[in-house]
Amino acid sequence: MIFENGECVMTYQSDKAFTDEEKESMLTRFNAVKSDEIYDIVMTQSTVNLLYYPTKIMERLSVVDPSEIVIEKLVEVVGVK
Amino acid sequence: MSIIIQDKGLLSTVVTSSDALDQLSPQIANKLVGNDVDEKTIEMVIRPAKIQFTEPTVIAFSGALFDVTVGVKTLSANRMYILDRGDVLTFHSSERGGRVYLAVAGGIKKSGRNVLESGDELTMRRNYTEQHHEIFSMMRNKPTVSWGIGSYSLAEVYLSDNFHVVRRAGVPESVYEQLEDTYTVIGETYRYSIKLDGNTIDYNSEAIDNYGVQGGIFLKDNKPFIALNDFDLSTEYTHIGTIPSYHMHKIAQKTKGSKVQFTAIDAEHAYVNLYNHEMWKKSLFKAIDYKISKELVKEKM
Repeated sequence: MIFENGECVMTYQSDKAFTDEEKESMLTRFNAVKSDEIYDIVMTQSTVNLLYYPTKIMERLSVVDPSEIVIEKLVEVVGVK
Repeated sequence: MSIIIQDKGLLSTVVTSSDALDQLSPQIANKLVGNDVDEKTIEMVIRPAKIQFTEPTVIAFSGALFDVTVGVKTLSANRMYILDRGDVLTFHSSERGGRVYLAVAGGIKKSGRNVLESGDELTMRRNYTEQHHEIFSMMRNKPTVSWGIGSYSLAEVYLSDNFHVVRRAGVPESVYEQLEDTYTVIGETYRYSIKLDGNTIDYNSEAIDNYGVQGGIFLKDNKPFIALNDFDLSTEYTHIGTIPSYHMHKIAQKTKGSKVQFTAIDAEHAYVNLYNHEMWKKSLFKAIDYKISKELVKEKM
């Protein structure tokens, strides 16, 4: 499940715990998409969280809702549809 | 040349704005003394420190509304002052709020442990711009400026007890209906969480764990509490929603016995509100810059 965790964090919640290898792969994929706008990742046992600056995205893309682009990146990082 | 912490008060620390619980107040205080907004300030909680100055120092403080004196003179929050060698800044009782941030023109140098003890001496960073020099020159002729930020300007962002909660996917609407009650702050575990007393919430999720997001509202024994900056990265407590970033400075000012009311909103509304808040902040900072420039021009004439 992917959801907006407040307005500055996008969370993917899994129903099982990630392995260390999975976490490492996700971190590698994150480092490839990291930017000034989506600037950090926090992983727990079963969640992956992208931290982002909504207003930077809103201003760059002239959108009211920046979630689509963040969700896109989160899907890339987590590797699920 | 330094400032001396005569009495550390309850808890005084040196923080950057981004690390502060109330991120807005240190930014305002820094702006008022011509600093970069992220310059370190002294954060003081509930019972602030008593601070002695060893040289002429331009200061401003923002956040909780304490009665503040230097000798027999009363100082106001959100206003620039120059304090002289030997002056002692004393905070008395607070009318509202629990955290106050003191900014010093040019900044504070602090490495190592950031919690202050009585007797500590803080060195000034002296990161002076041309404007700082002009401010110092102007302030030699007067102890303060003719303007400050009135509390009415900040009323919208600080006075209300209402807090938005961004809905979390998978949480039934009945949870938010139960949450829309008036809660009383029981207390804060420093920078960790704020405990609330009020309606219990009948809900439990099956998640393995949750991200301990700053501003997250979690349930412990069916009672909501609010996660702060230093909350656990991973938690097994049920997560029901998140206070958006533009309301976190208000939460940081909550003291024991104060009230909190929640209103559930969707993320789309939170984005719009965040944008409006950022625009408001930009225009406030521009107004401060303008006022300082105007005062400097007036001084030169």
